[in-house]
Amino acid sequence: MGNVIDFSFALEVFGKLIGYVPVTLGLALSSMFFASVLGLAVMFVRWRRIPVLGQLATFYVIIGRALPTLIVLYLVFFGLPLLLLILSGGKVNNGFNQISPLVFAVLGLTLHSGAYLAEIFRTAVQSVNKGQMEAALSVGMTSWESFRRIVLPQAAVLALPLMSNQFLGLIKGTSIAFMITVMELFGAANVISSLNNRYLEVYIATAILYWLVSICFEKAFQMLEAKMSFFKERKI
Amino acid sequence: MIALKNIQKSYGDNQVLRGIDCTIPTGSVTVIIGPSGSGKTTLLRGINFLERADKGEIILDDMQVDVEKATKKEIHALRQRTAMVFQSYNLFQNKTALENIMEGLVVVKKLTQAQAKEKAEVYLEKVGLVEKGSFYPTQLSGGQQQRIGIARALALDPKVILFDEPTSALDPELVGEVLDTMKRAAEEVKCTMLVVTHEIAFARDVADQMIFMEGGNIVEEGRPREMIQAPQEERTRKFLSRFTLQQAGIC
Amino acid sequence: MGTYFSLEYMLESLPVLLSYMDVTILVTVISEIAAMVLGSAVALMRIHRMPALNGLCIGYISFVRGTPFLVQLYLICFGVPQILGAFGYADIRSLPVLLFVLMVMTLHSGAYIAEIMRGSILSIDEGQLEAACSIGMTAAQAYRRIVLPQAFRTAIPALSNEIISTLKNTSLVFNVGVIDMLSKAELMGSFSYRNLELYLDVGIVYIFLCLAIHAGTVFLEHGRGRHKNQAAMVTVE
Repeated sequence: MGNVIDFSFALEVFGKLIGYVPVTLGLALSSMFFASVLGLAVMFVRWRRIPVLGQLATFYVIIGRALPTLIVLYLVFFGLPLLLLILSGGKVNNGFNQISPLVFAVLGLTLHSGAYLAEIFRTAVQSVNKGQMEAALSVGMTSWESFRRIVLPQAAVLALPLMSNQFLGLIKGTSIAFMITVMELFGAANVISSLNNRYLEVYIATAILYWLVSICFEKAFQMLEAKMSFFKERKI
Repeated sequence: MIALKNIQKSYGDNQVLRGIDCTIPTGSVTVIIGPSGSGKTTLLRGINFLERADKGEIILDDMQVDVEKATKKEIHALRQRTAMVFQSYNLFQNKTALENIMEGLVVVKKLTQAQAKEKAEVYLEKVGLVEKGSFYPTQLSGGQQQRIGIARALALDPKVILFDEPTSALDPELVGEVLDTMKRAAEEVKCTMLVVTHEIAFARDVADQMIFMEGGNIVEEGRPREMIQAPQEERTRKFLSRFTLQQAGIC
Repeated sequence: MGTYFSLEYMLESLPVLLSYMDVTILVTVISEIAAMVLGSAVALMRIHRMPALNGLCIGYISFVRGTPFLVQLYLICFGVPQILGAFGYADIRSLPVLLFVLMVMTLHSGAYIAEIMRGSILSIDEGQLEAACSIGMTAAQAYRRIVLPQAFRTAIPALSNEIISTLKNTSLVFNVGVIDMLSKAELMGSFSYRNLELYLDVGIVYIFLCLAIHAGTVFLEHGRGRHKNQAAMVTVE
């Protein structure tokens, strides 16, 4: 049994892998940021029913949620250099080498999460009571003021649980970035395991690291939700 | 003065407003009564364009708005000059009671935070809820929420306040405090009020004018006491008798 | 544009890749059926707070939800052979990798389904169970005939999402050696250098499959919904 798991090796690997957690988190946080901006924009375009853009946004949300993350990453990885090539009239060749894989990864993850977030935001905005908007309009605010000051803050609180879920999914989703040569936690794990020809220890250590990160963020989000929902509780 | 001219509105084939004409003099209280589905709420919501009527004209002092052709700017201007008190209160859930009153003052009237706060506190006192200023809507009773809703409307100094069945969602024991607040608003602030309600007693005691609507038409209008005691139209009599009977039964 | 992107190549590759779709569907269907059984069992164990088992289930669900599917896939597909090897099963390589993949996908999806089923069972009004027991049903009968069918109905949208998520996870199994659309695309791409066209093809297939599942869900919900609406209309009349 002793040689099934080499504990000292596992511990050593664990120490090495911790160094890659920031890469994973950086990927997740930056993608989440850009995806939120994208999701908000898409939601707004659909909410205002802007012609053409609105339909395009709906199309994006449907396609974005139907494609596996890996395919989105691949399409960005192979499509973006081609797009650059065409746009530059053949001057920027070989974009793979000129753009860091991290950029592809962030872009791909952003496009993927953006579609989900757009839908989350839309549902949240829809579930804010219609009377809130009416009341804001009735005191003389413009529809943009009403939306920004009254509807959006309430929608944000409603969206928070789903957003945190999306972020937790994104942390795990970053593991796919190794497929386009990004050296994050899982990519590093693959290199270490094949160098040492030991898999169990490495992947257990990796799993534990992801698990810990997930649990930390889950707890943090729970605390945030409790704080943000001050106006939802009925405390009579 | 606010006047409505030939306001019409249909949902598909269903015509809910069949050409409404009426005038509400400045500083007066007008009560609209009528069975549900008579179009009274639609009429009220048509005035500040929460629902857009199909045809007609709205005159608010020197402003004249053709409903059919109203621009965004006109609608906005109209909303800035009016205020509404909702059946389901619709207090901003993410703001405290005080902030609810301040919101319009800061965003629409462009007062500074300090000025808005000062003014909001005055109106908080008028509705007798000074000690609840820092409470969120969900921490208040329905009656308290509605009184804040009235303060929010009053603070904007609107030309007219539209009351959309302000007591219908309340538990019976909370109706009195809201009606008292409205009565005080009418007597002390002297604001122009257009009230859709089922509270006949309130109409009798406070209103200057009463309108009875049915099937999208104004059936009868006049002084409340006279209308209640001697309605001219058969349909008005029928509707009112149900109420007086009901109230007699309760009292 | 033709030199950069070949629509012709994209179109002629589509049927080739489509012929590998059966693996994707097979893996999804089998693991999802197994996951439903596993998930429902775990949900019931948690609802009834079975000693020891409840804690185990909580740990299992937390682990699956807290770690990436890829890590789980690698952990089992590469880790388990290492364990078996240590115990002397040298020829584990002869075990079909598909078996490992099905196991991972079942365990993965099972955890999510457990949470979905638990939520929907708990959302069923307790009065339903009480009413069933009041007319003399046993607890098992009450669950099987009254509570679970209703819970399943409320769970349909979430379950559908879970099936779609499983379907999308199948795009990762070629990493451990299963020959599917993506591994074929990769192989073809290494000869033609036209990866974008090939991945677009695969993307289209996935979109089509997702939309099919979605349409199926809507149909299922609508069919049941109509039944409900009719009942409501009768009472109105």
